[in-house]
Amino acid sequence: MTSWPSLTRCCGSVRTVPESPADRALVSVGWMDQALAVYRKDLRVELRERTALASLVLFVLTSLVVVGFALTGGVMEPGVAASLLWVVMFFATFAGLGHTFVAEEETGTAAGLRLSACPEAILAGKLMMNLTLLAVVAVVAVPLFVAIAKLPVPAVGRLIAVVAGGVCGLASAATVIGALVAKARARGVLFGAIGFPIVLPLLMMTAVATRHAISPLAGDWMWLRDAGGLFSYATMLVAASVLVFPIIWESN
Amino acid sequence: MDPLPAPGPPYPSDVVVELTGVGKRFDRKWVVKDITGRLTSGSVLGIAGPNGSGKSTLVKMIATLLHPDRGSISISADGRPLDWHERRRYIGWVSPDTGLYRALTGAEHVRFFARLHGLADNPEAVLSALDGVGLHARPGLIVGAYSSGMAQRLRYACATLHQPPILLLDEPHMALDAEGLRMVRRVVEQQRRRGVCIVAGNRDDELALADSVLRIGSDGA
Repeated sequence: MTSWPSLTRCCGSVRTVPESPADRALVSVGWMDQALAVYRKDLRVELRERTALASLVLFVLTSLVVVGFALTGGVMEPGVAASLLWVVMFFATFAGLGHTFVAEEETGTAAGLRLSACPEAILAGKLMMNLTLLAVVAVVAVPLFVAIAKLPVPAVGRLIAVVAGGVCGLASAATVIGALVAKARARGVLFGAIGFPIVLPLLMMTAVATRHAISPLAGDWMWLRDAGGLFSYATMLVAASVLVFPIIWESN
Repeated sequence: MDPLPAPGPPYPSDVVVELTGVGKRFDRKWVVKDITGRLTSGSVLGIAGPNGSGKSTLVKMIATLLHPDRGSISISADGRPLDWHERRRYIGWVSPDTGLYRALTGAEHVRFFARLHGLADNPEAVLSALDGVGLHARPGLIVGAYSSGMAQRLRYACATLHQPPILLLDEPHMALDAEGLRMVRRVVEQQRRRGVCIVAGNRDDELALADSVLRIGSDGA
């Protein structure tokens, strides 16, 4: 058999590596390689099976069509429109993205991952995958929603920044909640119980930020403050996940 | 990923697995009770016992997938004790519990686990790994279309990619044909030269792979 040349050390070997800057760089590369490997694997599986994407897109399209029917001939107030958009995005997210970790546990592939990759790399790979899926959904859903609801968008850049912040926040929340409930038996109940306090502030922030982005009456810099708040919330969620996830992932 | 030169033999020549009074319980029931033993490089240990006696649980504890509730498992390499996370670099695990991704091909599985283990993405090595378990003929077939025997062979390919010094085989002959059984014997003999092998099962042909057999009773002791 051809032997495998070793490329990098994985993060599980941190303690075996002498403490030199060069070796620390090697360890760091290994961590990112693992995260990218998990991401590529998930992307390939999703492109072949389209389980998450199908449920996400179907949910969003159905919701938007219903909104379109309800609005026939009318115009939606920006505050209501913003809330409605993020309610749709929220339910789509948890219909499609919450199962990334659950699928690994249910199919028995989680054990192989545990033995082969460090928890932080797995978390990062899953987060990248959820971000990708939600970004695709946002690219489809937001323009469609703006068209259906006949929303005025005075500055497209502002709306894009706010939506990007909301997508990051929702993807981070879905990833961490998915990780928390993956091993539980009553996942549905836990999903709601854990998700509520994590997602509620985020949804309120995204709704307000979107209202500011599409309202001509909002101040020039309000959208920037709002988008900054959303990215900060997403960063905080990721930081908390990095601390908590290894404990949850390794618990038995 | 660009392949880099191999840095030399990645693993130590001497690996010791030591179990001291190991026990595990689920809810209030002790599934494994007070298992003690020592295994050194070059040896193959069989673990036998009736269904539900805790063979797989014991293997999972050695594999670091479960924490013992009593006692301890220590693994050392060239005299140096390894911590929980370090051990994982040294372990390969084949088990009916090991899931595979139905939408990926055999070659993609091998490539994925190679990347996780920090091995270079080398197409020849991928085919060689599949060849070693008799799956070279259809590297592009998705696992969803595999027979259970082919899936078991792929588990061997993924578990032995990084040439682990400790190989844990739970029901190693499950679903394999005569050629598959010969493949398992080859893997175990290679492992004997590389380090330690633990075989958990009940079939005589599985336990015949081992030098010595640890028999667990139905009460897990």
